[in-house]
Amino acid sequence: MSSDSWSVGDIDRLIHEPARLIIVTILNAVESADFLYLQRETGLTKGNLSAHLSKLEEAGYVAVEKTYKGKIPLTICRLTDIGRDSFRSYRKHWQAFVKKTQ
Amino acid sequence: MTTDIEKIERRTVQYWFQDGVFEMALGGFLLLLGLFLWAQGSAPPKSVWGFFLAVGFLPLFLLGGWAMKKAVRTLKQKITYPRTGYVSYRKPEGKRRAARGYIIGGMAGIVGAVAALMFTSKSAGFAWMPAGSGVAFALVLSLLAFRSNLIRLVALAVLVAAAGIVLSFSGWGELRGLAAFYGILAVSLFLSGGITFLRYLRSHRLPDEASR
Repeated sequence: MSSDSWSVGDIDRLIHEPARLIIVTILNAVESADFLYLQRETGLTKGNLSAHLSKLEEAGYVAVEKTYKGKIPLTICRLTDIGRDSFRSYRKHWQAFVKKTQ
Repeated sequence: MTTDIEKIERRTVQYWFQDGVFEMALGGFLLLLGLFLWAQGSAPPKSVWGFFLAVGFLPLFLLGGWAMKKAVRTLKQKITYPRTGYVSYRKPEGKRRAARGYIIGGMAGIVGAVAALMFTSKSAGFAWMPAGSGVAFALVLSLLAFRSNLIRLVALAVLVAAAGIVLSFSGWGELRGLAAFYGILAVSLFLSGGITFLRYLRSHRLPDEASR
C-alpha cells in the first residue's frame, strides 16, 4: 500500500494506542529489554504493562521469555520481525499523514 | 508524536550512559594505554625494551578493549540491571559490523605503527599525535553526545580537543604528549563517570524482591 492511498482508517490500532506505542518504540530501539525497564520507562503499573504485552504477544509483535536469574524472575521482551516491520510501516505512514495534514 | 518517538529512542540510548559505568571503564582502559605510552616514551632510543613496548601496543589495545567490555558487562549486571532494568542493545549486522571491526582494528594498527615509528625516529618540533587524537576523540564524543543528547559528553569533547592541542605545543614530544593526553582523557572520563555513578546509586535504590 502506498502512502498516497493510505488513510488514517488503515492505521495499526494495536500500535497506535499510546502505552503500546511507547513499548514498541522502546523495543524497536533495542535488541531486548526486561519487564522492570519497560515498567520504569512507560510508568505503567505491573498489571497494565502485562496486559499490553499480552496483546502485543498475541498479535505476534512481541516475544516474551520468562526466565530466572538466580531466584529472581526475569521477563525479557523483544520485538519480533513482524513487530519491527509493523512499527516501521506505522511510523512511515503516520509521518506521511502528519505531513499531509500540516 | 514524531518528536515523542524520537525522545523515547534517545532516552533508550541515554540509558547506556545513565550509570557512568562505561565512562569509568573507558577511563581505566585509556589510563592503561597512557601509562604504556609513557613507558615507551621513557625507554632509551632503539633499546630492546622500547622495541618490545612498541610491538606490544596492539595486543595491549585488544586485550584492554576486551577487559573493558567484560568489566562494563559485569558491573551493569551486578549494579544497574537489578536497579533499573536490563536492556540489550542491537548489534550492528553485516556490513556495518564488518566496518566497525575494520575501523577499530585500523585505529589500533595506525596508533601502534605511528608509536613504533616515533620511537625509532624521535621527531622533534610540533607533536601532531596529541592534537590529532584530541580531535578524533572529540569527534567520537560529539557523535555520542548527539545520539544521546547528554551535555556532559559535549563538555568532555571540548576539554579533550583543547587538551590535545595544548599538549601538542607543550614540547613533550609525540609519545609523552600522547601519554599525557590519554592520562588527562582517562582522568576526565573517570571523574565524569564516577560522579554520574554516585548520583545514579543515590537516586536508584535496589528494589526489594517483593516489589519486582
